[in-house]
Amino acid sequence: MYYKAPTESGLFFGLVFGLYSENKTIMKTSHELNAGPMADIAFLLLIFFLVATTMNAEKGIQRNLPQDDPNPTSSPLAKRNLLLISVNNENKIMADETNVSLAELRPIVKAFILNNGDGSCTYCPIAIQDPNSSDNPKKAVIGIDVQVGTSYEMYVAVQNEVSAALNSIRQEYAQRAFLTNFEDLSNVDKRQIKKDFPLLLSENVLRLD
Amino acid sequence: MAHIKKKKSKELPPVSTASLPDIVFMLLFFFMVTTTMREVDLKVDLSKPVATEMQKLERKTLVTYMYVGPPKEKYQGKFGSEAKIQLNDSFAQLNDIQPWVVIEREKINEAEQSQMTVSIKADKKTKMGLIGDIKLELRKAQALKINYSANPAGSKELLYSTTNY
Repeated sequence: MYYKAPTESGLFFGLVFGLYSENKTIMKTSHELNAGPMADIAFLLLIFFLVATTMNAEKGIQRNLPQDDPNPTSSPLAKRNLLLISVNNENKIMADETNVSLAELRPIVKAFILNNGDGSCTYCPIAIQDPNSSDNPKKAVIGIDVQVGTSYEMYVAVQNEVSAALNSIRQEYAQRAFLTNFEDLSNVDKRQIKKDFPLLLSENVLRLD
Repeated sequence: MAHIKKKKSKELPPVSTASLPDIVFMLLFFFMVTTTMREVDLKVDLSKPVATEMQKLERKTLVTYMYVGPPKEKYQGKFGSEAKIQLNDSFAQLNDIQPWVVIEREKINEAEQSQMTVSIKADKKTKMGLIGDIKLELRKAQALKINYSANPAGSKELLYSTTNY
């Protein structure tokens, strides 16, 4: 028994099986599957999946919180090694005690990390070596102070700028040392670069009125 | 040799719909592969902030979601319009976070529990006071890997163009 298929391959198999079963009488009755309801079923499933699922991939800014330590041991931090970014209730930004706009933040963070004050960062580009800025990238701490009324949007924007500054430093280093994009490097190299240019954050929510 | 008989009728044969299921199934498979199931019924209004330097959450099984924002209009009579936390399918208080983290952590297989990531999906108008409190609770619950969920900034759209700072 064979069925008449409308497609080309169907025709081929139909011919082949037709040849084999030439003498049989069953081949004369051809059965066709009614495909109409199948489409309905498939449509139903399709609509179910359209309703029950979402398309957007989850993305976000990744951060690690510090361990919760009831008795924190404070290590002295030289003032020059801290870049304090404060955002107040009106979402105005201040970096190193001067008012800045969001767009100015990225170059400030970059210059701060790459300052290389003590010259120990041999892999840094030409250093500015400002005595009031960081010693080397491994010591450069970025502080983010927000107030209770600061909006989350502004906070994420500031975090985004800090990430962007660091990513661009890592990318430039990858271009210099490996002549390739940071993203294309092996995981070992990536980890090494991240260790060379770590993200050191110190965050605080100020509850002042 | 089998040969194809020609139908000798003047009427035009009806268009075959046999390939229709195939087409629909193809669409179905496309959607099954590209989409993900909705996790929960959202009870808060969420308009996420925009960002450019984002990382994709790779292992879905290691991620738990927390929603923060003003309750949707139908819940505002009961819960007010102040930003609230939604855990799973219900509104929660700050002190519900720690037990919630413990329960969620149990769902992940033991070897990977330390890699658990909490994705904070917060409305952009949320005040940092609440977010700070949430982060403090997460620290106490030892859920240290977090992710500030955000939308990618479109090429034309400038960051924070909607609000003037």
